This record gives sequence, C-alpha cells and structure tokens, in this order.
Amino acid sequence: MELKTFRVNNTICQYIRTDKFKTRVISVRFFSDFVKEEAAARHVMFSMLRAKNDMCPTRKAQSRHLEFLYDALWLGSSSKLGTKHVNTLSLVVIDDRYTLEKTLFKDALAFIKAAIFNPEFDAALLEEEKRFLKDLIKSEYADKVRFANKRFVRQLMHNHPYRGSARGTLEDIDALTLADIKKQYRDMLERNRIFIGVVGDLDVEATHRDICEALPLTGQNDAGALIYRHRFDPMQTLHESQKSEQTRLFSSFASDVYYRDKDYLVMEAMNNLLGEGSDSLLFKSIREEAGMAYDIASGYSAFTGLVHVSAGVSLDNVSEVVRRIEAGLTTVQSGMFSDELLSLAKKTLISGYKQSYDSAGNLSQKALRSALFDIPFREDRLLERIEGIRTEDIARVAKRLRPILTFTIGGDVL
Amino acid sequence: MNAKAYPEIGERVLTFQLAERLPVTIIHKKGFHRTFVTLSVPLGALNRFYIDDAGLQHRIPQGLAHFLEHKIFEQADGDISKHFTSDEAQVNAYTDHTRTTYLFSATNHVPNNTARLINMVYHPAFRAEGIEREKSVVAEEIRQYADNPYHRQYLEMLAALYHEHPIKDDILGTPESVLSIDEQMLHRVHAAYYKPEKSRLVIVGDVDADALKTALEARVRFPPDRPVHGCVVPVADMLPGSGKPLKLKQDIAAPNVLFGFAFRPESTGESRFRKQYALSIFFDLVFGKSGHYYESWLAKGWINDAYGIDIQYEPTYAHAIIMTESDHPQRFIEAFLEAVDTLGQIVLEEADFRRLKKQSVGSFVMSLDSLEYLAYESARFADEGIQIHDILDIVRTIDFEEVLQCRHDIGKKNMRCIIAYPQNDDVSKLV
Repeated sequence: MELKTFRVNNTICQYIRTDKFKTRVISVRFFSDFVKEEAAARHVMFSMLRAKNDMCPTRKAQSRHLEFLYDALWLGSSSKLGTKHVNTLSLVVIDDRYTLEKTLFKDALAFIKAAIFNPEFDAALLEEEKRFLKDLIKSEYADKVRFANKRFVRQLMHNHPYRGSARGTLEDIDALTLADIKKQYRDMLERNRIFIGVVGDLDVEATHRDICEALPLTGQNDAGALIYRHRFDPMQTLHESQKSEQTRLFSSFASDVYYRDKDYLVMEAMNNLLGEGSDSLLFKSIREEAGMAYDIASGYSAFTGLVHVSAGVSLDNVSEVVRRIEAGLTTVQSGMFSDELLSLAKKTLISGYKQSYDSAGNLSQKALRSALFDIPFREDRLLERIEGIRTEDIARVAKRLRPILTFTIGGDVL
Repeated sequence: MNAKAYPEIGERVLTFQLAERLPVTIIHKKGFHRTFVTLSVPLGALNRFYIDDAGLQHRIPQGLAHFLEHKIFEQADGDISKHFTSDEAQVNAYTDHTRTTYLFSATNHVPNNTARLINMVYHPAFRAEGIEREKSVVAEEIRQYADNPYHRQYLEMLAALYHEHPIKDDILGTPESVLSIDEQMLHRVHAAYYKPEKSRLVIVGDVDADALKTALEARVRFPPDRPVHGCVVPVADMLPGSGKPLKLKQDIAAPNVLFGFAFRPESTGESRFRKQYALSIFFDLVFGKSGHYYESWLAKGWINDAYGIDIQYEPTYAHAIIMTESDHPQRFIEAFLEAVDTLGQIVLEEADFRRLKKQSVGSFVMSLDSLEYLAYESARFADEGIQIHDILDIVRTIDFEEVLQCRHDIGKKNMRCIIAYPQNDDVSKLV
C-alpha cells in the first residue's frame, strides 16, 4: 500500500494504491473557515449540488444513472472539523475489471465533474432541499437518545466561538435565497482549500492524469489553525425535563490536550481505560457490578480537548452513577488501576489503528490527515509510542481533567 | 477441506466440518489486516418452545434468546471479553429473529480467539447472581428502545401484519418476561438449541486455513449431544383485518406513515432468494427512488428524503415495509392506495429491469469488501442451502417475467397501514 501526493493548481491530489478492495473511492473535500451565519447556506448549497446537474437534470435521472454505474454510491457530507466547515463528496464504484464496459472509473469521473462544475440550482430545488433539511432537524426530536445528545452539545458549547451546527439553524434555512446559494458555490470553488483522494487498485500516473482532466480545481492556501483551544466555563450541573423512559446522563471534562499534543495518545489510552468498551473501569463498575446501565461509555474528542461519559439510566440512579463516574476518575488519577487494565486499554487502541487500514474510507481520511498536519501516512511510529505508555502517564493526564458539565435530560415526565 | 474458487470476482472459499460437527466456512481475503469471525446458532426471538428429554414441550419466555446471549460472556473467572482484548480482538454478539451471532474482529491470534469463541458459546457458566444483575441491564436496554418511536412503529406494523406469531414480539422481551428467566431455563434452552451441528462458523480474512483447522481441532471441546431439542417455528399467517389504518400517537415532531405487505414465503432456499430478489426489483421499479412514483410524490411535498423501503424474507415470514415522514399523510395515503389499486396498469420497461440487474452486480461486488457482510450473509445463505458467492449466477437467471409476476403478490388484501402522528395533532379527520 502506498500513498502518492501531487499538488496541481494548489489542489492536493492523493492516491492510495492497494489491491485488496474491489472498489475505488473518489473523494473531493472543500475546506473553508466555519462561519455560523453562513453554515445553512453552505450546507444547503452542497445538498443541491449533489441533487442534480446537466448530466442528470432530475433526481430520478440521477438515481437511474447511479444504478447504471453498477450501483455507484454517491455520498456527501457537510461537517465541522475544528475551526473549519468541510464539504465532502465521495463516489464509490466497483473496479472496472468487474464490469463489461471497462470504462466505469472514467464514467464516474464524468459524473463528479458534472456535479461539481454544472449543478442545476433553481428555486424549486432550493425549496425542496430546505424542506428536507428542516424536516431532518425536526425529526431529531423523535429519537430521544439522539435528541439528548443534541441538547447536551448545545449546553456544552454554549459560548464556544465555533459552536453551532454545520447545517445552520431553522431560521437561517428559512431565510435562504438562490443568491445565497450561488455565492456559496462560487466561494467553494474559488476560495476553499481543496483535497482530492482516490483509493483502489490504481495506475497512479494514469489516474492522476484522468483526475486533472476531469476535475481542474484550483485550491487556496489556508494558514488558519484547525484547532481552537477554548477555555470552558467552570463546572455546571443542569437538568432538562423531557418525556422519556430513560434519563440520559452526560459528564463532561476539559483536558486541554488536543490532537497531536505531546499527551494526545496518552489521553486516548486513558479514555479507553476509563470508559471505552467492555473492559473499561466504568463499564465494569456501572453496568457489570451495579447493573445500572446498558449503555455506558466515555469518549475523547481530540479537536475540542473534551472527555465525556454518557449513560442511559433510571432517574433514581443518577446520583449513584455520577458517584461511580467520579470514583472511577479518582482511581485513574491516583494510578490505582491494574497493569492488566492498562494493557487492555493499549491493546484496544493498537488493534483499532491496525484495523483502520481495512477500510477505503479510513485510508482516505488518513491521507487527508497526513496532508493537513504534515504527519506520516503510516502510523507504525504511533503504535510504538502507545506500547510505551505507563501507569504514571495515564495518571498524569487524568489529573488534567477538569469537570465542566453534568447534564441530565429526561426520565421525569411520562 | 473443500475449496472453491470464484475467479470472476476474485474470491476463494473453503469449507469443512470441525470435529465432524460444526460446519465451517473460510472466505479468504488477501491483504486485510483484520480477520472477522462469526459463530451463529439457530436460536432467535422466534423460537418459543423446546422439547425436553422426556419429549415434553416447554415454552420459552419472550426475550430469553437475547438474555442468554448476554450471559454467555460470563465465565467461571468473570467476563471473558478481556481475554479476547488481550489477544487483540474485540468480541460482541447480537440476537435477531432467527439466530444469535457471536463475533469478533482480530488483528492477531486468530486461532486462539476462534477456539475461545467456540468454547465460550458451547460451555456456558450461568450463575444465579449474574443472572439477576443482568435483568436490570436488559431493563435499561428495553427502556432505551422504548425511547425510539421508530422501533415502536416497526413492532406495531408487525403486530398489524401477522396473526399469532412471535415475529410481532420485541426481541428484547418485556420487563415481565425478562424477570421470569432463571438459571435452569437458560441451561435447558442452551442445550436444546446450541448444538454445533446446527450452528455455523464463518471466518473472513487473510488466514492460513490449514493451520487454523489444525489449531481448532486441538483446542476446541464440544459438549456431548443431549436429548433436548428445539422446535420448528411455524410460518407466519397474515392477520385478517379491516385494513383501516392504525393510528398511533407518539412524542414525535411530524407524522410518519408506514405501509406493510406480508407474503407467504416460498418453500425452498433458492426459491425464497429468487422471490426476495424479484420483489426487491419490483418494489424499486414501482416505488423506489428511480421508480414510477417517487419523484412525483416528492415534488408534491407528500414525502421527504426519509422515504425508504425495507424487505425481509426468511423461511417463516416475509414482508416489505415502506415508510416516510409526511406533512400531508392523508394525501400520501390516498395516493399510495391508488397506486396499489392500479398496479396492474402500470407499464414497466424491461430496460429498467436490466438496469436494476446491473445495479445488483455492482451492489454485490461492492459488498465483498465488507468482512462483516460476508460473514453474516454467508451464514444466512448457508442456512438456505446457498453459497453466498453463487448469488450472482442465480441473479442472472431471473428474468423480467418473474419480476412482473410480483404484482400479483401486492394488494390491499395483504397490506396494512400505520400513521404515527404527534400527540397534539388533531387526527379525527384522517382516514
């Protein structure tokens, strides 16, 4: 497996050659600064771009065309990455050798070209995409676990400068005009940092020629930092009433350790040990010993420096579960956990890294990360560092965790 | 060991019987870092009876298959997960209507982990204290699903479609049924259904098959066969009913509409697969995103992009469910009913059928990159007497006429409708 990178018109083109997949994945990523007031416009524009174009002027025509391309998977997302708003297009197609025509890759590129350079933006499509997005946002109320997560994030990030959804708000969506959409489209093509990636059994040189011909994009430089180091407020305890069977509990901690900081890997290992997976301290304490939760886990977000624990519990058990979370953290901070537990946490982390090479999508992400942060594509060195993590390292980073929010929602109205 | 190569799709499959008892399939995937292994046993939520050694039939409480799955991981020295993790594997399990599947994904020590998985599954160590504690965990799991209205909508649709058949019961059971589970019951049901001869082990990865087989033969211990048995699950009959839509009040923000169709499954594995495939094509041609109605309904605002079709086809039940959010549920329901009434008049083009067949080729080849898909579906198809890699050959023999015949399987006689609406809506005037 090898990664080759080219820079053409300031657009980064990355190719990962591997013969283990039967598919090829083509990704195009557009990076801009995240601006809350423009999020809705950028998101909706991107949805419209994916909906129809001069090659496929209706949704039905596009569905049929993708079926014709041997069930090509046409994926898109509009998301936040640190301080950036990232629009990602992906097209997954089977390798030409499994087709009769042997032209599938070129046909796929022609389709992406039409989508990017000749989208069909019209008023009817704008109203339709606005309706879909508003329906989606409203529907998140229905699934109470998902809704609880949404409310938790809103409380957690209430004064963070990069708070807000990559989709914008209902009010912003309502106010969108076709002029807003066209402006966002021009900005995306003219003022964004652009990355193109292809993963599969490639002739890299030939693929690069095809990409340059089909997607002559001009990227911009971007000196802005991806990561914003926020000083979170002192500890708050909040509860929201909600009609639900369960109470969703979130305990959040600021670590001030971010992606690629010296202690970043140690923080990942600490998180595994504390609450990630069935071998972790909190799983053992809260689910296996106390039987108080089915769903209990911790997570570390390296772009915000936050560690949080979430659980679905009965309202009556909230204070005991909070006590057990605090006790678990104290155990980690004092280093009073077994060598076995540390070993398991490290092995889980190492195994996760190794397994990530078996997904074309993950490989594309790794390539992107290597370009964004100027780091090696292969993570062998990281694995050595994880092996070397000691008990005192875990205890040291755990002591950096400062509680900032305990949030509960639901379970109190039936 | 039997080996079969599929050069057209670059796959190689090996099969053998471990200790002349457990059927094993190895799907070789060169270059992958991880190996994915599943061991499936034929105990699912539909299995509600077993026969004891005296030949007497006993009832299995709702949710027991799922509960048993939870308890398998508790061994004499505690939870077994850490031994898998120590050998660079992540272990898990799930229970569905027809089987329980134990699985792991490993980057090393595949023979050790596979032997451990097999021994864990066939040698349980149930303890009364652990059983009681697990009941509160499962109770929380039940509550979590109860907070998902789509889960309830799905269960209500199954209840509307089927007569007295356990398909309509929640896989997790109810709080009451879970409380009734005890150690003796777990042992008896385990003995009745967890038999190597009726199970399937599937290994997908870059493995040395001969070395793996040798290692497993040395390390795996199967229990002796016991004279207790599972019971055959009857085929689901459709519930006779008025056909009027069922109204469901839920804590949701917008109405959801579901249409379900129940079918009587075909009698053999290959005929079931052919029928499922033909139905899937027919639904796509008429109701799918590239089909006859979708774009029109979308443009009129009667559906949104949450619209979807799900088809399940198993030996004892088969159904198709179409669901959507809709701000105009009345209009959508009327339009859909009209579509069903006029199915015989829609002109379907063979060119569209050929395009969807091409789609099937692509979809199948794409799925071969997923170790999980290969493992799960390989076991499912093997239960039907089909090797998953032979599917493309079967698909190629399905013709347009076979798909057109499906219009006779779809009508109001085997259809149910559910409207879920927000609690504050006035639905007195809805159908």
